[in-house]
Formats: sequence, structure tokens, C-alpha cells
Amino acid sequence: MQITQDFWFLLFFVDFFLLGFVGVYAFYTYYKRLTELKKLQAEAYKKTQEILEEARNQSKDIFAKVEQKTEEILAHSQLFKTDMDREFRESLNKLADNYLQIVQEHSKKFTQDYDNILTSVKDQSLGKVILALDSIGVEIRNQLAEAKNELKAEMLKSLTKAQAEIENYKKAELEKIDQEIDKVVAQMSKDLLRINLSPKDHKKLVIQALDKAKQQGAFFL
Amino acid sequence: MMNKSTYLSYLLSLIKTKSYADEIIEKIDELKGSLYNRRVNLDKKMSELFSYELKEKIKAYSWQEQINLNDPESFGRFLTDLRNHIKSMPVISIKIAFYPDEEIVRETVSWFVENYGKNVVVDLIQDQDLVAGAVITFNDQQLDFSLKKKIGEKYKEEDWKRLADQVRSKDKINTPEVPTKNESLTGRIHQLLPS
Repeated sequence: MQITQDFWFLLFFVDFFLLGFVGVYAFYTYYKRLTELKKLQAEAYKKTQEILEEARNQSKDIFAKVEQKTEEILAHSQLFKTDMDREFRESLNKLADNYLQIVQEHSKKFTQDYDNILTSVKDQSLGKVILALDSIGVEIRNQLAEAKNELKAEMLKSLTKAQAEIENYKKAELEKIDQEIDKVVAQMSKDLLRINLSPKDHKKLVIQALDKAKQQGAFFL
Repeated sequence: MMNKSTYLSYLLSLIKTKSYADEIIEKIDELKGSLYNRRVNLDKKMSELFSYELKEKIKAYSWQEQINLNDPESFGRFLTDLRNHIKSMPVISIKIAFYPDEEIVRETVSWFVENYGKNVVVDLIQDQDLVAGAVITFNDQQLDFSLKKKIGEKYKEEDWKRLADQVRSKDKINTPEVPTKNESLTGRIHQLLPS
């Protein structure tokens, strides 16, 4: 019985030791993996930085090259444009000169033809023109005389109308003045009458007024 | 001995115009305000406020009424009574064409005393437009006895026009002939006047 208890106790200790060993080993393994992983991450970050730096440098070079190339192209195109302008101007000048020459030739010819025609027509037309001018002169004289008569009639009409209006206005104003005079004369007559009455007369009239008021029973005293 | 009403009548006869009546009422009110002020000498105050004649008449009337002037209460009652008498005097408003001098005031007031035996207050107003005569207003009734009204009734617009024409023709022709007094409009107006 004593042996059996010791045996179980020993067995328990052995199991405990084995479990502890396995746990320590597992922790050690996990920690080691974690360290490796961190290291790997740091390396990857560093590598990425390097690649980015390299890419930045490369792009900078490319930009510089592109800029240089652009400037070259622009310089070339400017030169090309200047050449083109010059050539275009020259060809235009040339064309204009040619055109001018043609026009001058045609004008000269036309003038000559016109001179010839005019010379032939001149003699024929001169007689007709004199006749026509005479007729126009007569017509104009007639029209002028007619217009003069119409204007005179119109002026006379306006004058008559204006005179009538002036007369009416004068009449109306005189009537107004007459009315004013009537009023003034009436007022003046009354004022003169009042002024010409002596104070005694005035007082007498007031007392007469009181007497009449009494007769009419105006005072209930 | 004079009777009671005669004293009052004498007093009221001194008050002839409405403006004077209003002034006296104001002064009576002022005197009433001083009755209870012991520093104020009432006799002196009355001399300041009223004319000698009016003051004497007030004193005579108070004596008649047996009022003790040194008793503020009874003198106050007396003044209120007097104020009411003045206030109840009949007011006759008369419009006249000339300046209302003292003479016409006296004459009109005397007319009322003679004809009705009563003291009245007249309110004379000058209105030159009336020409002459008077417009009398009493108890909201107005009677027009002015010459303006008479002229308006007797002469129409045409008459005035004729008069104006006469004046015009006189100016134009400059004739020495003047219509006789009775023929002309002014002459006819003169006929309206008292002889």
C-alpha cells in the first residue's frame, strides 16, 4: 500500500515536470518566431523604402529628361514657325505683286476703252443734255413758283389763325380784367361808403339795429 | 337805504364787455386763492387786482350781505356768489364796421339798461366788411342788420356792373358830367343811410 502511494506520487511529479517542459518549449518557440517575424517586417519596410527612393530618383531623372526634350521640341517648333511665317509673307507679297500687275493692265485697257466710248457718245449726248437741262430748269422754276404760292397761302392761313387766337385771348383777358374791375369798384364803393359815414352815423345805425332786434323779439332778458 | 339788488346792480354795471368780465372772474379766482394765506393783506390784494371803484363796490355789496371780510370761509362763499352773478350775465355779441371804442360800449350797454332794465355784457367785434350797421348774436340766434346785407338785397350784380361801366366811361371820355346823386348807384346807396 505504501509503495503504491509513492509510485502515484512519483508518477504525478514526472507528469508535472513533462507538462512544464512542454509549456516552456512552446513559449520559447513562439517567442523565437515572433522575433523572426519582427525582423522580417523591419527588413521588408527598409526594402520598400529603398525601392521607393530608387523609384523617386528614377522619376526625377525621367522628368528632367522630359523637360529637356520639351525645351528642345519647343525651340525646334519656334524655328520652324519663323521659317513658315517668312515663307508665307514672301509668297503673299509675290502674289500681291502679280495681282497688282494684272489689275493695272486691265485698268489701263478699261480706261482706254472707256475714253473711246465717251468720246463717241459725248458728241451725241451734248445736244440732248442741253435740252434736258433746259426742261429741268423750266420744271424747277414752275415748282418753285407753286411752292412759293402754297407757302404764302399757308402763311396767310397761320397768320389769320394766330390773329384770331390773339383776339380771343385778348377778349378773355379783358373780360377777366373787367370782372376784377367790377369787383374792385363794388368793394371800393362799399369802402368809400363806410369811410364817408361819420362815427355818429355808424353808432346811430348800431342803435337802430338794436331797436330792430328788439322789435323782432330777439332778446329774452 | 339802497336795496340789496341795487348794490349788486351797481357792481355789475361796471362790467360792460365780455373781455372785462373774463378778466374780473380771473381776478376773483386769484383773490379766492389768497384767502387762507395769512401773510396776504386782503385789502391790499383787492387794491392790486381791482380798480378803486370796483373794489369799493365789492366792499359795499359785501357789507350789504353782512359778510365778514376777515372770515375766509364766508368771504370765499361771497366771492363764489359774485363770480356766478358775473358769469350768468347775458352776453350779446355785436359785429360792427368800426373800431369798438368806449363810447359805443357805453351806448349799447345803456340801451339794454334803458330798454330791459338789466345789466348785460357786450362782445363787440370789428368787421369792416359789414360797411355799416350791426350783426347781433344772442342765444345762438343771429340777426343781420348790416348795410352790406341791405346793399346785397337791393342791388344785383348788374347794378354793380353798371356802376363799374359808369366809372369806366368816365375814365375814357373824361366828361365833366357826373350823374346826379339820386341817379347814380352811390346816390341810391346814400338813400339807405339814416337822415
